[in-house]
Amino acid sequence: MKDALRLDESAVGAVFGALADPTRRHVVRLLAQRSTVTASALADELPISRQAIAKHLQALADAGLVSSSHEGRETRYRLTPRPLDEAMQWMALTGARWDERLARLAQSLAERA
Amino acid sequence: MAIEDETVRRVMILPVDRDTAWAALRDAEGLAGWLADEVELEVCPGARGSVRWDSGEERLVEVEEVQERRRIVLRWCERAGDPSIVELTLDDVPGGTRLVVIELPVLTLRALAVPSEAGRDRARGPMMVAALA
Repeated sequence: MKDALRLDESAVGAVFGALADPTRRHVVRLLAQRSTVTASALADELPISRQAIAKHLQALADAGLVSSSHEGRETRYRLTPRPLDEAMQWMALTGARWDERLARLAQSLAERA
Repeated sequence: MAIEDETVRRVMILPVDRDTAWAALRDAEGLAGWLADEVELEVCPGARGSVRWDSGEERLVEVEEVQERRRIVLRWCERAGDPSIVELTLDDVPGGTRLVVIELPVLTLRALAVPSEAGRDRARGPMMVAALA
């Protein structure tokens, strides 16, 4: 029983750890909007390199939040939301949205200054 | 996962004075610069309106509370979604103004009195409690 509890805590901790990074939350949000996506397509939508995207995808995969499959020469990633219960999904998506909004606010204020 | 963890909280130090920060919150014109792409809302208690994004997403909004230069509390939801409460609070800090954002589902609020910015100097936040009704 003790081992089972430790395993559960570890899994939850991995999910929280993976989602603590705002870029990874953004990646999760983008993955949630489509069935599968490539790292290159994600890199087109985020201000970071494809290599950085790959690292974030690996971190998400380590937490069980992302799986990958090969289609020809492409590796396609999909969200595997089972580790997330509804509340955690809500947290990730809502938090990501606020990160975007606050970035827009900061930019807006900087342009007015 | 504790139910308190369903509260999203963000803190940002804005490098502007309180009046400038408040201008971004106090009316539709200010909010439209960042909260959403289109804002149709009179920022006064009880007012109802909507916000829209270029993606096509729309949320219905009701203003729960307005404290001049200090705080606004909104309740919003997608047309087929569950409502959540958004609290935006401003404070003076060295070098600018601190903005604290809290969003939590109304269902969570009903289940537990969640500490809010408003609740830090009172036992419970005024409109957070009103939202229980």
